[in-house]
Amino acid sequence: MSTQEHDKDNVISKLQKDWKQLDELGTPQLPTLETLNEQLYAAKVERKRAFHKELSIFIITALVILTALTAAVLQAPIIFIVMQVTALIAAPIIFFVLTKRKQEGSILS
Amino acid sequence: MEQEEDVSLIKKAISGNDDAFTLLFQRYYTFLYKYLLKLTLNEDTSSELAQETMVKCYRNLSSYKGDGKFSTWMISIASRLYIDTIRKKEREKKKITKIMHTLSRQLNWNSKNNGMDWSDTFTDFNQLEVEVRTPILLRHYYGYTYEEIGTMLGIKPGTVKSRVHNGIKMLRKEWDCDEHTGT
Repeated sequence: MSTQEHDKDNVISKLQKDWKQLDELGTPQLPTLETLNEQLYAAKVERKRAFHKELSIFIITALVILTALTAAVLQAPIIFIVMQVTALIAAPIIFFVLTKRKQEGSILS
Repeated sequence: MEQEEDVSLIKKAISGNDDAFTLLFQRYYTFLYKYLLKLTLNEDTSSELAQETMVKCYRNLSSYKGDGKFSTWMISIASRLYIDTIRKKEREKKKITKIMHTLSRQLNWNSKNNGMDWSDTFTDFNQLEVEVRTPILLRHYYGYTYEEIGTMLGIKPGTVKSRVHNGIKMLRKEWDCDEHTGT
């Protein structure tokens, strides 16, 4: 056996001894089924709460955008039309530029 | 036999039986906790991570195909969770201070009471990057193959092999230095 192999085995056996020691030290108190069920329930409630929060933010954002657009149509229809026409012309150009840049990037990578 | 029971419990859990899931999780709790303890060296962190692992396992239960052991699938989730936690902590600290992984006070106290000593190699191992420590532990203590570790951690088997090899090499160097300096 080469010195390198011997050293490697030494390192591994030292680690294994200490991991085994840690196993002997760290025997946990087993949680009861009730505790686990409670933890699971709490996680479900938390997830539900997070979902409702995200949904509320989404609905509020959508309403704000819709209100702004409706206001623009009713109060300043010319500005609204100008915005729409500009977007109609700019959108394909931006799309083309972005696609080209992406293609160049993929060739480089 | 045990695996058949696991599969039966998993089927029940997927169909909405939470008791079956918690029973399954309880069976492997000690195994999971001890695995996490070897990575975190802290009882509280291990318990917290075990709880997070339970929730993640519950959410992703339908993705468990039953072709491997449930315990393997569970520690695969725990490993990724731990690696993500460490990365997040490191990002927050932004290289100002390197996170040191040392035995918790309680473990230190318990080990002293039990007359246990820890090798310098173990101390050096715990200072390695989490991406290196995890595959070394899985390979050299739990006996998983490079392919299995690759699947568990979501990396190529070749990457696992080189991380394990380089990690051991680094520890060997440290060991050589210690030998020469006589510490």
